[in-house]
Amino acid sequence: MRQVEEEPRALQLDQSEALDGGLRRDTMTINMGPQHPSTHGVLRLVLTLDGETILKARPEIGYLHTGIEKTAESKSYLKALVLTDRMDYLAPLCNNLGYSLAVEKLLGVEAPPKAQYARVVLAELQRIASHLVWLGSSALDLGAQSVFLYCFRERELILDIFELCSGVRMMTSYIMPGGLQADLPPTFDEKVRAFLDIFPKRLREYHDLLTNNQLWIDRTKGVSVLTAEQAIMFGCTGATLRGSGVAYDVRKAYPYSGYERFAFDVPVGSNGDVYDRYLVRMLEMDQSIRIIQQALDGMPEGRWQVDDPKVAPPHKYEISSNMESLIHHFKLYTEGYRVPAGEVYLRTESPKGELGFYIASDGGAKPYRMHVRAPSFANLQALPLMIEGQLLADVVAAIGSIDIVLGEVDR
Amino acid sequence: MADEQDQTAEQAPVESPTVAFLRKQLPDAIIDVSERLGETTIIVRPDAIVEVCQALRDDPALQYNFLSTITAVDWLEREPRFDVVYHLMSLPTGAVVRLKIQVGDDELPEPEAPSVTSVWPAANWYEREVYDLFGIRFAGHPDLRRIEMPDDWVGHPLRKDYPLTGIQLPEPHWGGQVPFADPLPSDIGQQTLREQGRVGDVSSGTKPDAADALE
Repeated sequence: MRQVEEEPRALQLDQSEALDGGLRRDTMTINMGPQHPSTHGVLRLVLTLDGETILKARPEIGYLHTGIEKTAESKSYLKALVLTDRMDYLAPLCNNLGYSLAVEKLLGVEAPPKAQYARVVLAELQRIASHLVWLGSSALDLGAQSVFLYCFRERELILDIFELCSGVRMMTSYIMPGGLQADLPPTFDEKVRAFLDIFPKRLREYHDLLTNNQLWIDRTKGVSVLTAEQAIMFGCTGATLRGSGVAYDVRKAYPYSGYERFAFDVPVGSNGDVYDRYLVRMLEMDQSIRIIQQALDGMPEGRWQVDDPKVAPPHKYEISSNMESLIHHFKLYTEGYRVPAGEVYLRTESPKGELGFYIASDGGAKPYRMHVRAPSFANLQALPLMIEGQLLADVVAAIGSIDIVLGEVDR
Repeated sequence: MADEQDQTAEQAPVESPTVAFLRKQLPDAIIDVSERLGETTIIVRPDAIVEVCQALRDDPALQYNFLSTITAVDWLEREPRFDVVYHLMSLPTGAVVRLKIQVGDDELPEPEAPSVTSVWPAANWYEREVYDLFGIRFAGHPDLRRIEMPDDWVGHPLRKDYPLTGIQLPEPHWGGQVPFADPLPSDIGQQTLREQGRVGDVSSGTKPDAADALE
């Protein structure tokens, strides 16, 4: 221990900043996170506070940086697909879809109609599942505990459908470049329709619990407002942008995978507060049900993968009876397919917003560069705009309302 | 989505309104225009990128008000080495365009590009990410810090000459994440913590200066 050299002296408060009546006015800087239950992952917020008012907020990210973009450069296109599951781990199928469409565009192939319809059904189921996790956890943050349990009950039904298709509940990798990993199971239609019978009633229950609940309205209305102009300038997408009144939905603006065939509406808010973002997502679930219904009704028969042995692996029975299929299988799972040189940026609407895959190919069997435009990354950047000048207790409401997934922010 | 229509037009190289606008307003800024897979790519002179972005955003007919993303590609063998890629979108018209600048020369360990944060505030984090992972400095950026790697990290992971397995660290390394300078090329352009005397040399058994202060 070091010796104390100076004589101890009485501590004097600095009175220069004292207000009338002897009150002192200091700012305090605190860390919120990275281990904080209501930051939905490992987000760290450095907050400068004056009492309970936030003067300055600075998000710090990178605690979940796993180098997915770097790793993808060393994998074949088929293997890099598996990495995309792990980015937005609450919506793996939507990530698979964006990646698959980007690779298909570079390859110049198009998935057969049945795969396109199935992709839409799966992506919309995934959107509902993701919104249910958001609803449950953000309501829990504000003290509404029962909603959380109900939401996870319904999400379970969706995960059961994914398990039925792919054998996996979350990291399915079921949508792949060229179509689907396997044909839809025979009971797929029946299971999804059973879910569609149940879900609208349950959605009604959530509305009953929250939408007109005075406590919920008090905590969310007029809180963390983001104007339309701010949202656009900061690159926000998804419900964060639509809650501010901008009707931008990639499914309408740049339709992909046959979304132009389905009738659905884009819910838009007007105030840009937490409540509007909440309502936009709640109404989006209704629209997802509409889309799933139409896609199931119109589901065509046929192949679930492209009829191209250079992209889609051959059937098992062909491998044991046909030399050429054996060679194709071997090539696909060792080297993988070569993708023509070029670059592509493909936008899809993930549950969080515009998910963009930028893939640059040098003509080889591995992506030369894969960049992911993660919607959560851009939405999180706008968080200080929402919370500066607000109370500390509203930070959790704001974080919940932009629905970030740190796996996607950091990649 | 006028760009797509132009692309499908047979043999008639009708340029998209975006390209026509730039050719008219800023003809010196354009290096090359290409059209592939229905996507327009405009390669712009690096020093003109801010001017081009500002013009595209403010033109009443084009209104590129939305910056989707900024990223970079490392073409190791090429000169200049890096592409910085901008994806723009216009919410009112639905048009999309990709801008590119080529930066990097052998003299500088960290090439420089102008920052477009003055045009779209959204560029702030995207440029920090490119700086962090590629080591491209953005001149005029208000807060150019690493965003995903730790602040004291050495090297830029998404460069093609950065090994996939990372850089070998001696064990134990102080603080858990501070890499030593030895396995890196000397021109990395950053003073390591060891050079600052903040970490010790494990092989020779010396302690960091900071350790003395604790006793």
